[in-house]
Amino acid sequence: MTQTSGTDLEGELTRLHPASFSWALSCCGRNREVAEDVLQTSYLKILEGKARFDGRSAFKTFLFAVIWRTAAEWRRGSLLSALRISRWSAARPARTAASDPERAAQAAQRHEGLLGALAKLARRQRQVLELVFAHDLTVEQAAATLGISVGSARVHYDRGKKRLARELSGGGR
Amino acid sequence: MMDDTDLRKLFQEAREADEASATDFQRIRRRPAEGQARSPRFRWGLIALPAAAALAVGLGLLVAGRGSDPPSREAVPSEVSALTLDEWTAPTDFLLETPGRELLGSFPPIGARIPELSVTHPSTKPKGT
Repeated sequence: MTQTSGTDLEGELTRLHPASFSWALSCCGRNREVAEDVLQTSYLKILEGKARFDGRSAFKTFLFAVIWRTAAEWRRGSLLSALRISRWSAARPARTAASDPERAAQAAQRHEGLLGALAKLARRQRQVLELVFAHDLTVEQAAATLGISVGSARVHYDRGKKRLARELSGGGR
Repeated sequence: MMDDTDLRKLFQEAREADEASATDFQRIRRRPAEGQARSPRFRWGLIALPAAAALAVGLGLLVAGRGSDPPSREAVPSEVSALTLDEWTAPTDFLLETPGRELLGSFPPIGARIPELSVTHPSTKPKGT
């Protein structure tokens, strides 16, 4: 997808919207309101041509990078700090779609456990892991999304993975 | 210890939960009017608030500065400052009192004997005499 018309763009954005929403939540400290604002601003940037996709990467990588940068802009706004919930531990768990209440409760518990363990990781480590494991990006694509070198992304990935495994198995420091 | 597959499964599950709770694309997309109307206000707030704070601080300093001006030079009587200046001597003045300084400030009387430097300063005696 190198040449993109407005309709193509909107179609791609619609297709990737659920994943984008999940990524935006992650970039905004799990705050839904801020995530929706960030997502809307990101979509506008792309649809109005302020952020242009040049085809050098996958469209998903480009879109996630725009969301990441937009979230960073929001984070930099000092007034926002009062509005946003920066700590993952204070985040509202997302609703689960499972119909079986018992399974839903177990899934919610695992989700909360993962969020709790992720909260103990450095921000970069957490985000590299999310991009790779949750969004199926390669480490190279994760590096491009976050605007860091591949080497640096690999270090974050390795250290983050070890730390997360320790935290999840209850052996965290 | 969890391996990559377990981690991936856990992350995927969490992502699916996020995706299931995602607000509809068109709903987010249709928020521009609301969002754009709020953004400039937010940006103006970012500019106006610090500007107002800076102005308030500036005015405060101005008012406080007027109330406690340091005493100006005119406030000190001129005779007091002149007297003080007249009496003042530099602590290094003694360095200017060099030996033989009185000879430089006066004419020697005619016919008076010029002091022999060679006597007072033996080191200036020509060699070999």
